[in-house]
Order: sequence, then C-alpha cells, then structure tokens
Amino acid sequence: MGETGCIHLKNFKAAKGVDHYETISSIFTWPTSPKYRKAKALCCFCHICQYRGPLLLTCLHCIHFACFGGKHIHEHSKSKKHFLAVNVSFGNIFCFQCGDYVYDKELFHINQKNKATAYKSLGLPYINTYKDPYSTEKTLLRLNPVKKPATNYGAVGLRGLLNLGDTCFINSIVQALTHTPLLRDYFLSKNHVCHFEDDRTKCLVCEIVNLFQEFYSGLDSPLILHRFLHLIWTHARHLAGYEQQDAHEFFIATLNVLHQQCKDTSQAPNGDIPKNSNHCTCIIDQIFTGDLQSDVVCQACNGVSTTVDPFWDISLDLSGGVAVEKETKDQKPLTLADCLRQFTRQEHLGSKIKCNNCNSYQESTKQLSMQKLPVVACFHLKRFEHSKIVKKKITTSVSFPEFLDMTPFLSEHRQAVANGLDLYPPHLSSEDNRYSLFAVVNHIGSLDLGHYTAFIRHKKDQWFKCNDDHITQVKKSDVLASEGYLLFYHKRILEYE
Amino acid sequence: MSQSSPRNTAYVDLMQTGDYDRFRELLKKRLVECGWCDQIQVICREIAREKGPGITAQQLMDEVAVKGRALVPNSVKRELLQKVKEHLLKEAGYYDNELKKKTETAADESMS
Repeated sequence: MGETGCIHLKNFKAAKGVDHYETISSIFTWPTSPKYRKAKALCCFCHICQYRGPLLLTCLHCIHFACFGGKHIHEHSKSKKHFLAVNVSFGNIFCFQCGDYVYDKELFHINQKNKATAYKSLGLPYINTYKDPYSTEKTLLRLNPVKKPATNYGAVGLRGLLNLGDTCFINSIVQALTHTPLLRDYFLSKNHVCHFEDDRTKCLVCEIVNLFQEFYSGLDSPLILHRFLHLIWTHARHLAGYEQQDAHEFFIATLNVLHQQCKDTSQAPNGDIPKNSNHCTCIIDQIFTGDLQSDVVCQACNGVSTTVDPFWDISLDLSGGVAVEKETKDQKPLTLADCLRQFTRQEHLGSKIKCNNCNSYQESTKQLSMQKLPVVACFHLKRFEHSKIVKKKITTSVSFPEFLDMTPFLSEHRQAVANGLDLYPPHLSSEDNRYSLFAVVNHIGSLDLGHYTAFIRHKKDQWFKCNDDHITQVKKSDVLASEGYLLFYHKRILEYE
Repeated sequence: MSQSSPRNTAYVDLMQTGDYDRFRELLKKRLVECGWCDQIQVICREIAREKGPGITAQQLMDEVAVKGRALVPNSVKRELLQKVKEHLLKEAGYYDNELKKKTETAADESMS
C-alpha cells in the first residue's frame, strides 16, 4: 500500500479536502480541549445499539456514529453511499469499497498532531513513536544492515581502562558507573539533551554518553579516559593533578557534576510531568538519591523534631564501639547489616540542645532512618581514618551479602515497630526493598601507596575484576570475600510512580 | 447499554474529565511493560505470514482478539479494575464521610 491510501480516499480528499477528517480527529478521536471531551462523551456511541467501544466508527462524509461489530456502520454506508469511515478510538480510515482500513500519510500526521495536543491538555507525557528517522540515523542504518544480537555470554560491555598515572581510582568508579543497569539504559537510549550547544566538549554528560557507546561498541581494546579526566579536572578543581585521589570523593564529585549538567535539561521539555516536591528529576537523582530522616527526641518532653535530607551514599563507620565489641565478644566478623544497624541506632547527643517543643535545653537522642530508598544504594566503608592523631587504613573485615533487604532501616518500618505493629516479614501489599550487589570497589595497599580495583557484575550473574586494563573473570565467592571499600547495590524491583 | 445506565454515566463522567484517557494510557503502559504488546505483534506477524498479503484488518482482528484477551495478565486487569473503582468511589464522595469522621475525632482530641 502506498502513502496516499486508496483511490476512493484520494478522490474524497480531492473533492472535500482534509477538513472533515481534522474535525473528527480533533474532537472525537483525540479531544484537544475540555469542550471537545464533553462532546465526545455525549456523542460517541452507536446510534442504533448504544455501543461504546473500540470498534465504533464515524462516517467521514456526514459524521454519523455507528458500530462496526454490529455492522450498523455498514448499513449506513450502503444506504447513504458514504464509503469512508473513521475509527473513533484510533483515527484510522476504513474504506467500504476496498473492504479494509487504508493508510494515508497526510491524515496520519493530522491525527498524530491532535494526539500530541490531547495528551498535553491532559498532562500526559506524549512520546511520538512514529517519527521518521533523521537523515543521520538513516545513514547509520544503511551502514549497519546486520543487527547485533545481545547474548547472555560474550564480552560486549567489558572494556579495560588504561592507567594514566595513578588514575586507577577513576577507572574503578567508571567501571562501576558503566555497569549500573539503569544508567546504562538511560545513556544508551540517547535521552540526554545537551545544553552546551556552543561547545559540547565541555559537557561531562555527553562524554559519559560517548563512554557508554565505547563500552558497548563490541570492541575490546582498552580505553583511554583523557577527555573524561580533563573534564573532571575543569569541573572539580580539587581533584586536579596526577596524585592518587580517594575513589569515594571522586564518585561523589562525578555525580555532582553530572547532576549539575543534567539538571537544566531534564526540566525543559514536557513541562506537564508532575515533579516531586523537592527532588530534581535528573537521571542522577532518579537513580542515586534517597532521603535520610533524622529524628531528634527530647528526653524531657519526648518531643520529636524531624529533618529529612537527601543522600547519594551512606558512609559507614568501622572504628566505632560496635565493631570492637562484636569482634571480641562473638568472634564473628562484622557484617554490612551490623554497620547499618549501627548507623541507624539511637544515639545520645553529647551536648544539650534546644527542644522546640518544650523550649528548653535538654538531653536528646538522635536516630537516622531511610525515608526514601534510592534505586542504587552506594555504601562507603570508612576505611581511611584521618584524625589529628592518626592517619591509617582500617582493615577490619566486613562481610557483605549478595542480596540485601533494606526494609528494617526504613522510617516507615521503624514507625510501625515503635507502634507495636511488626511488619517484618513484610506483608504482601508492602514494597519489596531487596537489593542485589552489582559492583564493589576495593583499595589494596596502604594509605600512601595503594591501588584501586573494581569487581563488576556483567550480563547474567557473571563477575569480572577490572584492574585498569586487565579484565579477568572471577567467582562470585571471590567478590564476596574481598575487603570492600565502596559497595554498589541495585534495587531488584522498581516501583512506578 | 442504555444511555442512562450507571455504566454509561460512569463512562461519560470519566471521558469528560479526561480520566478515561489517563486510565487508557496507564493500561497501555502496563501492557507494554508486561510484554503483552510484543506477544500480540508476534502473533499478528505469524497470522499475516500464514494468510498471505490479501489479509484484511478484520480477519486479523477476528483471530487475534480472543487470544489477545486471554493473554492479558490478571494482575493488570486487577490493578485497572481496582484503580477505576477507587476513582469512581472517590469522585462519588464515598470517602468524604470517613474523612469527615476522622477530622471530627481529631478535633475532639485536640479540644480535650
């Protein structure tokens, strides 16, 4: 079938133009205003059998509504000799002389335009899935006629990274980021709109997009991150220089630059999308941001003052009392869950602070809990102690699981337990807060002379060790037995907003 | 279905406020997510290949409709039904009384 439909539709268009179709499409198929929605609600049903459904058609000649299933539109067409009708639900044209739906490019575009307007008026996001490919895309398609299938095995997605002189901290973070499933999906689907139009080389997000393209291009030669490094140096000056830096600090700085550069663009199009009150909608915040709730309870009046702060990572203490206590008492190694319990336990604040409830200075306790969990939870084990007296690396072993349930650390759960409703194990309707490990960054060596490597999960449950440009497959048990400095967990079930 | 039936009134209300289209969009989203749309596409392709180029939309529809309905996951049906029901009850003021009661008791507590 051509782009102009059948001869009957062609003749109709030549005689009457497209106004009839425009009217039907903009009022009844995709009502573009509240007035038209009312008209649709009151008029669109079969005037013979009262049917309202997806197979309702309207005559293109005289706008008579009748159903297709009961053949009432057929009767109309026969008696009036009106041979063209429009499907009210979708806007497709049916030709009774051809006995089938016919396609016409011009009318199709009118219908798509009305659909976009209708969606906008309802505040729904409209994605045009029918757009013609751009000329650049057409060229690419012609150049690559063979589809590359993604298999569960194979090395696509694994690239070594050359060390540019103590840049292993960058390499290991880049490995963790490029293997974050949701980030990968976002960046490979070209969702980023750059706002450095004059000079794209300034945009770190564009560079990350390039990096993802390189990682998943199917090549396996090591990459050199010189442009990425340069951009980090220009945007986060405190990391400039050829010295070994802290991988955690670098990770946060990178997220920060990406967040700054994504921020403006993510809010520009589709102004209708409801925004979360104080959350940015950029991809970094969508994936990495959680909310930490801090409850300060006054010991005199039990008044609670609650503050909520966003976080990108959770830094866990290893030198605290619990670590020492546990090791001496149980002879069992410290676990990640122990650290999290320590992190969210009730603690007495050293000095008296002012209570807003009873307006006096009182002893208080403070407790942290997770009000909103991020999609990717990054745990930072504080292995480097930089106090006035000592600077040392803490090598306490912490065992971390492959799967982690964050439910016990949720504010909501804490509240329920406090009220005597133990929701654990969670009942059916509550959310699934389980996470699975997908990357571990390790630090080997001492404070002054060290090296960073990363373990990453690849494809279906395969693990690889990325040591600059050396990539080797490892067993899952090796990953879980490693020391661990940064632990990256991905939420297993994503909730829709 | 007569023009004054409850079902029709609900339809007219939903259509006028645009909620009908919102639910329709949600349904579409769920069907894409659960792979239903892909399944249907595969089935349509198979039938089209079998019947050859002369096949009409109606013939395709007759074959796919029954299978397609059966393939919609129950969870999707339940979610939509639940949401539409909830919405209609809310619009009809079903929850207003409970809310009123709650605010009244809250007011009583703060008074005492």
